[in-house]
Amino acid sequence: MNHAELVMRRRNVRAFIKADPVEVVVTRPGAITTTGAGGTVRAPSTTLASQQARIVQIKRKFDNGLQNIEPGYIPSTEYGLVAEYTRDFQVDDTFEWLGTNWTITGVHPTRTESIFCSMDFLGPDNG
Amino acid sequence: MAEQADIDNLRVMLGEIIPDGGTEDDTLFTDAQISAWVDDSPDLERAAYDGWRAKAAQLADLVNVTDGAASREFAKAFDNARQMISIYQRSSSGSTEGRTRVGRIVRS
Repeated sequence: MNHAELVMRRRNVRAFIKADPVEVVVTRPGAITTTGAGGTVRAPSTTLASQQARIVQIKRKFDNGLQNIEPGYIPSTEYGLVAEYTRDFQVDDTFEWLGTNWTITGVHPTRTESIFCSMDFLGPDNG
Repeated sequence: MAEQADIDNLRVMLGEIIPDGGTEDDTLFTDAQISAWVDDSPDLERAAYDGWRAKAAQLADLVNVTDGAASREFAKAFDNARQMISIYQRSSSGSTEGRTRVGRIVRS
């Protein structure tokens, strides 16, 4: 991509996020490893530093057939998360927003101007 | 190399401030390019005039884009850069050095 266009696109993303930001503290599940006994264990999860992002609705437009105005690659969920290209989000990351838990279900793999993730509702903590 | 304070001031005048946590790659110009304008100009306003001309050249290639859920009117950025060139051109440090210019009145 033309460098000037990439810089302008990233500035647009930055201004868009700063218009309605949320501070997201992500918990990343640990890697799964096999034990000598043949089972698997998951390493402790890690909590990342707070990252600024913006949560938006993912819109879909319906016609005779199903049309998705956001091209494929990520699951269709009600909400999406937009962040600057330097941020760190991965599938299965979890975070709290509006008092409930959410998880990242998909990260758009081809964007260079921003990070765009689909997010799904996990619900409040049990008990 | 020019003073870092002058480089930072010129970045402000050009609208090319390095964002928090970012680098000069997040702007249209490197510090070396900014420094060259500072070194080659009698003052910052003249350096800003030269900088905006270079910025307009980079923005001239951008077009309006609509993809999926988003549209971006990048062509407007070039028009804005031309206006900034005019502003600095009229100053006493600009290319006209504050002298009277003749122009055409254009109705919008």
